Amino acid sequence: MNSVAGKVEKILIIDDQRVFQEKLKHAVSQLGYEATSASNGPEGLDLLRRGDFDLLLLDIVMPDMDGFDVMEFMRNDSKLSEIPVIVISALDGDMDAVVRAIKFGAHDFLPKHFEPVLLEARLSSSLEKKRNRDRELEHLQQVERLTFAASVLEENVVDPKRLEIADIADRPDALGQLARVFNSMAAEIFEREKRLRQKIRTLRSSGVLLAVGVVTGLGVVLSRIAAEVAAHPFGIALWVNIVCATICLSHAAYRGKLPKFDLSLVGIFGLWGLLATVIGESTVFWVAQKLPASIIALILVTEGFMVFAFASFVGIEKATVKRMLGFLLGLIGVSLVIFATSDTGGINNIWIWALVALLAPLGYALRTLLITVRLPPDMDMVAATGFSSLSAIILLTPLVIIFDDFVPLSLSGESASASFVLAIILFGIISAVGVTLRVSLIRSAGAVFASQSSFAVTFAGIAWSMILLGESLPLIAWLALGLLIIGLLLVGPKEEAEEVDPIVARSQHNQPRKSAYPAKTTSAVSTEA
Amino acid sequence: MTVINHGMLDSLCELIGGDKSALMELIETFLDESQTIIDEMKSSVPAKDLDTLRRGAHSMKSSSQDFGAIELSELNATLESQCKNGWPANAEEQVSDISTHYQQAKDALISYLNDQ
Repeated sequence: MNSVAGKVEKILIIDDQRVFQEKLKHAVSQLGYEATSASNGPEGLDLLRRGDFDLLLLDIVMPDMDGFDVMEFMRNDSKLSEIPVIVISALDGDMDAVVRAIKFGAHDFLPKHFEPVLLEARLSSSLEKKRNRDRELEHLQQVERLTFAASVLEENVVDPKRLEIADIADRPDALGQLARVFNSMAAEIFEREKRLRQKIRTLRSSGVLLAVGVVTGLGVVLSRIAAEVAAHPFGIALWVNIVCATICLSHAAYRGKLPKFDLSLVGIFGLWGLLATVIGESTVFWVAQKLPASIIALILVTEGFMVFAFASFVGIEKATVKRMLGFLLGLIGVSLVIFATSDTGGINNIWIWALVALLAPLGYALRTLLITVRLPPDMDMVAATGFSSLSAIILLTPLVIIFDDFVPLSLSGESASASFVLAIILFGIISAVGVTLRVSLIRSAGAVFASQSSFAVTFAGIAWSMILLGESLPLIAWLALGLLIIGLLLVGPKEEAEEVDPIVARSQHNQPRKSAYPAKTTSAVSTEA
Repeated sequence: MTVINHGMLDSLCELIGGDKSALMELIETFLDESQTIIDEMKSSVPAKDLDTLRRGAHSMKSSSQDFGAIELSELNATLESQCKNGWPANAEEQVSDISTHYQQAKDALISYLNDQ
């Protein structure tokens, strides 16, 4: 068998006479090649395009489409132009045609009546030239690709996998060595940059997360102060959301960032308001009458675990032992603060109410996932916050009516004082900043990392109340803060999405194939003639 | 002079790998295809279809040589070269001569087949 690297070379015969097709097929197979035949030009071209042939034995004189026509078609088809052609011709009187065929790009000619040794010599010489040419072309293309990859890397740091030079690195020669060195250096630089970026993200995200905690925690304290003024949870929530929606929507409108009306957005914000306001906030207000604040705070921090569980279950983010450990540290930190600063004795049916209270973190967790999965990535964050408040207003209004919880806002009235109005406005601003920061955190660091803000909020709430109410922070609170921060670093933001599209100038690679071949053949003809 | 040069048949047999049954098949293909070509050449005469006549002679010239029908090949070579200068004056005679020689070559090849 005549094979190169385990592959039997394939030869196509195009001849209109069946007797020559059969004779050539037998003779070619006899030499160990795989022979296929066609009885006219169109059939032969079709086979050439479909089958990966190494050489063509072509009769010149054929009815309708002759050998020259076939060669013309092949020359204009980049897939076929590199296949060597040996023209078959009767020697007597056909010499002109043979000369023309060779000028046309044929590698060689074979007389109709030939000796086996001649066929063998012509085939092996043409195939050897083809193999050399293929190697040369491949080498040229790989040099070109490597040069292109180098120019890409000179301008920016990219994953070397995207440059697709692994096959060049497999070469045993100097070019392969160059590609290997180049590849490993590029990979090292890429990994280093990636780790650096991840560190920066972790630090920046931790900063934003603590800010969410500080801002939202202040809100918790203010709500306690406000609640003392008037015990109307839904009424207060309604006013706070009106302030928040007004601030955010006018801010977004001023910057021209309000999105166009879209029914799917109505669905997203409706669900957001339902999960956060109706399920989340209402549950908190409801159980607040039955459970001490410390227990509620503890239950609320389970939001982080729920998000973690959901996100890893649906495969949005990776669940690792390290991240789980980070969560546990955060939980321990918060529990330390809660139990060190509060008294939990003497409550009836604590477990039933605790289970009911779990609805709140569930609502918040689903809200966080909703933002991750459904909120359009190009949507303005402030506008999103505004719409979520608008949705809350619409959903809270019937609750306020049902519970007769409306708080009239008149500065001179008995039910509302100036300090109450001030607290509402302040609370609205805090809510606007807190929610916007949270949306930005979910987007940049992922749902799992952002859900740790529940730790920060609880912690900051306790810390704020200590500061504002003049209490001193026990040592254990500082320890808890340390645990929380270590936990944040362990969980880490989600990893940046890997870009996988190969960066290769595909069109450039085909160019040498097209242009080099005819030039090569013309020069070969002139030296051989 | 024999109609068929057995030496050339032997070298054809060697070319296709010395397989006698392959040679038999090849001879059958030759006879089958040649009959069609001869018929086409005959019908090209009244119509003065130069292209068909010339291509027929060209095909017969090459293939009959492979099977050792030297004289048949030479007759076709002459006709083909005459066709290059327009319609040959004695085309009908030549075609009928070619047909006769083909019949003789055919008989010889069949008896060769039967001897195997």
